[in-house]
Amino acid sequence: MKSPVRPVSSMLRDVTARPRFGCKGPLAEAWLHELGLFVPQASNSWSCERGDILLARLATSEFLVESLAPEHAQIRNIAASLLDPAQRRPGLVPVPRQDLVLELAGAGADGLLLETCNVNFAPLALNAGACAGPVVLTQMVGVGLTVIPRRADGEVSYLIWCDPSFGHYLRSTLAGIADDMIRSASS
Amino acid sequence: MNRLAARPGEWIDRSQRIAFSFEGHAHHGYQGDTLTSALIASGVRTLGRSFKYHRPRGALSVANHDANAIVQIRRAGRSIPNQRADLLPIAEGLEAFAVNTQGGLARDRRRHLDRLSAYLPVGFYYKAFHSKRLFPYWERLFRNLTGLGAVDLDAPRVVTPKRHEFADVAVIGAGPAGLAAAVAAADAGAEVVLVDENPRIGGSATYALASETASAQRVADLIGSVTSHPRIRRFVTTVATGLYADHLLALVTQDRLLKLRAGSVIIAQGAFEQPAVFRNNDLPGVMLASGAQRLMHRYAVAPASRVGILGANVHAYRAALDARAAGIEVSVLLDLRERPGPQSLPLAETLRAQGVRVLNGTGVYAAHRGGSGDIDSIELAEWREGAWRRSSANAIAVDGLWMSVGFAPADALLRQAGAVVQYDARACQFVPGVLPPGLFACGKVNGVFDLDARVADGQRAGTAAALHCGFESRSCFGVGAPDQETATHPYPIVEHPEGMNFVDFDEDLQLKDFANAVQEGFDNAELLKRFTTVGMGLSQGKHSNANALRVLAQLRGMPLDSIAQTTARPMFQSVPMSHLAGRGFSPERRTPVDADHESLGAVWMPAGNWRRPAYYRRDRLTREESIAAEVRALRGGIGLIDVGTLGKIEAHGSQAGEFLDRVYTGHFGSLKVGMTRYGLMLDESGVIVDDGVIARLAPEVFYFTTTTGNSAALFRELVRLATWWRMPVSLVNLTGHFAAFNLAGPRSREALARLTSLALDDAAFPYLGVREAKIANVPARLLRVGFVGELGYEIHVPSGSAAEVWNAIRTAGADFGITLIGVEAQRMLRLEKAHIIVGQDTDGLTNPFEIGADWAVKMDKPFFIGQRSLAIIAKNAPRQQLVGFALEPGRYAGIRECHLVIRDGDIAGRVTSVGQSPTLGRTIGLALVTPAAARDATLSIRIDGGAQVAAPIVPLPFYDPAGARQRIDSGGARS
Repeated sequence: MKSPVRPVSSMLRDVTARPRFGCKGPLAEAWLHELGLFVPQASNSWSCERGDILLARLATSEFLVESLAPEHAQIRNIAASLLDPAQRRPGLVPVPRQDLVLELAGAGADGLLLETCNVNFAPLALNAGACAGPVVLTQMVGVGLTVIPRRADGEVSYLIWCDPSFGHYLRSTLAGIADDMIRSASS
Repeated sequence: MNRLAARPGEWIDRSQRIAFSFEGHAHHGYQGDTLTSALIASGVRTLGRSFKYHRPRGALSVANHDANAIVQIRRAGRSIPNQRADLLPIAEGLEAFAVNTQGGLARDRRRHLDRLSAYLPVGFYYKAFHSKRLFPYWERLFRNLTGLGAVDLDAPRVVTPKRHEFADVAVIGAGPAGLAAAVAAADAGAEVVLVDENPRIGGSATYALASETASAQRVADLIGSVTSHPRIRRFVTTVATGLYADHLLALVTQDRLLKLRAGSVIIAQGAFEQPAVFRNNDLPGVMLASGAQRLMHRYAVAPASRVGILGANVHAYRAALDARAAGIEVSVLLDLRERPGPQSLPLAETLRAQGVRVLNGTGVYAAHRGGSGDIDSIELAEWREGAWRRSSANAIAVDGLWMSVGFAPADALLRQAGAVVQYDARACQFVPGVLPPGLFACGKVNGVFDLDARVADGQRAGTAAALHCGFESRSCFGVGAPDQETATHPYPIVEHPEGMNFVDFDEDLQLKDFANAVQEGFDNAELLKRFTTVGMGLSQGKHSNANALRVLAQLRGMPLDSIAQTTARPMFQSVPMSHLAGRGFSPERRTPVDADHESLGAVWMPAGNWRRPAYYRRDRLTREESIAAEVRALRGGIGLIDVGTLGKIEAHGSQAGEFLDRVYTGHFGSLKVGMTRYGLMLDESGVIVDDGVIARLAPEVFYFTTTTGNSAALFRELVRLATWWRMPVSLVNLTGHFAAFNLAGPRSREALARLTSLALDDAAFPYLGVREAKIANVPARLLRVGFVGELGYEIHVPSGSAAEVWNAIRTAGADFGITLIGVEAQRMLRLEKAHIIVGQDTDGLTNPFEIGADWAVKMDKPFFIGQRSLAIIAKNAPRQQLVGFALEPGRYAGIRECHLVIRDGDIAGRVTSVGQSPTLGRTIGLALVTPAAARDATLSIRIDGGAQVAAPIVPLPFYDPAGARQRIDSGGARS
C-alpha cells in the first residue's frame, strides 16, 4: 500500500493516497445528507464538521468529499460503490476523483503561490479556518486546479487538487520552484 | 574630471570606487553611478551614434529614456546587448561599447552618412523596398547600416520567474504627487504599493527644487511618511510598462516581471521634459535641464563648465541657479517668452544680480560644433514678424546648453487603460479627461507643476482611490492652487534652412521630414507615425511625440486639440525578452503507465499536450523496422496500446441522448444500452471538428471518447451547449481520471478471458458492444471497437488502478506474445483500414461528405450542429474528396504527408496520410483531392525535390474491406 503522505519538497507533501470521492447532479446534495455529511451552503466553500472528512462544494452543485486522515473506510467504501454500475441511481452523478493532491505549507508557501498563481491567497488565508473556508478554482503553472487554504494552530496550509494526468508536471514544477526559492533564500 | 564636491542627498558612495571601461578606455566611478553619470564625470560626453545618420550623441534626459546612449556590455563572461547607459549601474570590470558603430564610437566608418542625409529623406526605406527586385539588396544594406547590439547566441538560459503581487491601491510614480497619494490612501486603510523606476523615491523633487529648502523639507517629510507607513510597500527600480484590464499592471524589475493586480490605480508618473527644436540640437553637450539637474544632484557630476540655458518656464531659472550653486558658469539664459512669469521673475532678478545675462523673447537659432565634436557656441534667434529668425547678435561661447521649454505628460498607462485625454491650452499639454472607474491621475500628468498643488492633487487622488476600494478617509483634502505660470511653451521649434533640427533623436527625424510626410499625404498622427517612424524608436516617443503633434498641427493649420494622438500600447518601456519568457511553463500530461513505457523503451512524441510512445526501441532494429514489427505483431497475434490520452466524457440525465443527438451527426437517443456507435461532431458550418465512440451504459448514462487534442476544449463547449440549451444534462470529464488500453489482435479475446468472468463471445459481447465488468478485479468499462481493424477491446479503468490492470494484461498476454504498440504503428494500422484521423485527414474546411462519411450523418434528425450548413453543402458539387492510393509492392517513392497532388499543372490536393504498410508490403496513403482528380485513375504527387510520382487510386479500405477480422470469433475465448 502506498504511503498516505509523501514529501515532495520541504514545502510540499503528496497526500494523494487519502480516500475521496466526488458527486454532482440534482440529487447529490440530498444523498450527502443521507450519508450524514454536513454540506456547506455557500458556493465554493468547504467544511469539515465531522473533523476527519472535508466536504467541498465546487461551484454550486458539485461536491468533493475527502478524508483528512490517511485512511477512512467509509469514504473508501462510498468511493467504490459510486463506481459500481449496479448502484447507479438517477439524479446522482458520480465524479471519480483520481486527483493528485498536494499539501503546500511552510514559510515559503505564500511566495510559491505568488510565483505560480494569479489568485491573491493572502486575504483568503487570513480568514481561513481549520474546518471551514473558501474553495478556489483556479490555474497554477498553466494547470486547472482546486485549492483550499486552511489555518490550523496558526499555520496556513493549502490543499491542491489537480487532474492526475498533470500530476507529474505539477508536482515536479512546483517542487522545482520551491527548491529554487529555498536555494535563493539561503544564498 | 567633472565630479562635484560631495552634496547632501547624492546617490553615489564615494567610499566605493569602481573601475570599468568604455570603448576600450579605462574609467572609474563610484558605487551608485550609472554608466552615463560615470562617463560624464570622467569627461566623456559622446555616448553613442545616432540610428540613421550616425551623428555623435550624448546624454539627453539621464532618465532612462536616452535612445542614443545604448551599449553592449560584457560582464562575467556574458555579452548583453542594448543596455541603457543612463540606467545601467557600473560594476567592477564592466566593459561597455556603443552599439550601432563600425570601427568604434570615435572612428565609426558610417559617420559619413551624416553628409549624405539629403539623399536619405523620410520614407526612403519604403520607397527603396518598393522594388521587389532590389528588396534583398536594400534589406542587406539597411541591416548592415542600422541596428542595435549583437545578440550573444551562446548566452546561457537565465530563468527569470514572474511573480504576482496584489494591492488595494497601486501608485505609479513616487514624486511628490505619488508620495502624497500613497500616504492618503494608506491612511484611509488601503494596502498600497508604490512603484518608481528610480532606485530612490522622491521623483523630480530630489533634483529640481533649486535650493528651496522649505520645499525640500516638505518632500523629505513625505518620503519619511511613506517609508515608515506600515501599509505602503515600495517597489523601486521598477518600471510600470503596461496597464491592462481589471487594473493588472506589468511591472519590470531588474530581475523579473511582476504582475500587480490592484483595486485601483493612481498614475503619478509626472512628465517628460521636452527638447527644443533648432539646428544641431543633438550635439553632445546639448541636453534637457532636468537631465543636467539629475547629474548634478544625484551623481554630483557637472555636465558642463560654461553653460547656456534655453527656457520657457520657471524650471529653466531653477536649473540656472543650480548650475551657479554647483560652480558652473551660466553664460546666458534665453527665455522664449517675451516676459517671464510671476515665479520666474524674482529668479531672473537673482540671476541678473549674479551677473547672468537673461534675454527674453530669444531662442537658439543653431548650435555649433567645436573641434571635439561637442557644442562650442550658440547662435541666437529672435521672434520677428510671427516667426523665429536669426538674430544679429554675436554667437555665445558655451560648452553646454540645457533646455527647459516644456513637458509632455507621462500618460501612456492612462491611455492604455482607456482614459480619454484632451488638450489643455492653458497648460499647453494633454491632460486626462474621462478616466475609467478605479483609475486616477495626479500631479504633472494632470498639468499640475507647483509643489503644493501636486501634493494636494496627490492627496485627492489617494483618497479617491482608497474610497474606490471601500476605504473611507477621515481626512479632508482641498484642491491645490492653480499653477502661477505655464510650464510648457506652445511651439519651441525654430526652422533652419540647413535642417538638422531634430524632432526625434531616436529615428533621426528632422523638422523638414514632417513637412515632406504631410505633403505626401500622411497627414494624421497615425499615418505620420508609420511613414516617418516618429515615436517608434527606443524611447517610444517620450521626447518626440509632443513636438511631432505640434509640427503636424502647424503644418495642417489646425489647433492642437483637434489632432488625435496615436494609440498607446504596452510595453511603455523596453523589456528584456527573458523577463517576458519567465520560467516558461509547458503543461504536459502523462498517462498513469507512463513510467512503464519509459522502462520498456518508449521513444516519446507529443500528442496534443500529452506525451505518448511513438514506438518502442528494439535491439538492432531501426525506427521503421520497430514500427513494422509492432504492426505485424498485432495483426498476427496481440498488441496493447495505451489510449488513455483519448478524451473521456460522461453525460447523465433523462435528456442525455437528445443532447448527444444535437451534438453529433448520428442517432444516439435510440442507441441501445450496451452498444456503442461512431460519432462525428461538426461546427455550425458543417466542418468536422471531432469524432469518437459513444457508448450507452444505462438509459440515462452515456460514456464517450473524443480525440486526444480536443478533449479539454470540447468538454468546455459541451458544458456551454448544455447550459445554453437548458438541458438537464450533467457532464463529467473523466479524461485524466480514467486510463484506457486497447487490447487488439486475433488473440486478444483469449488473453482478456484470463482476466474477467465476463462472457466475451460474439453473441454475449458483439462487435460495437460495451460492457461494465471487472478486469483483474478492477471495475472496468470494455468497448469492443475496431479502430485498428482487428478483434479488439478498449479497456477503461480508474487511473488509480491503471498500473495494476496494465500489468495484469501484459501478464495474461505473455503466452500469446503480447506486444506494446506505439502511436506510429497505431496510425499505420488504422491507415490500412482507412480510418481517418480528424485534423490530419481533414482540414479546417472538410465536411463529412468529402471523406465519404455520409453514412454517419443522419439528416432526418430534427437538429444537430452543422445540419443546416450540410443541407446547403449537399446541394453543391463537392470541393474535395478523400481517396486512397497505393504504389506497386516494393516501391517506395518518398511520398510524405502534405505533399501536393498536381493535375494539369495546378494544385489538386494534398496527401493527408501515407506510409509503408508492413501488412500489404506497399506504400499506401490517403489524399484530399479535387473531384476531378478523384475521378482519375492515378494521382500525380509532387515529392521533395520537385519530381512527380504516379500513384494509382485504389478502393478503400486497403485491408480487410469486409471488416471480417474485427468481428471474428477466435474460438479461443470463453463462450
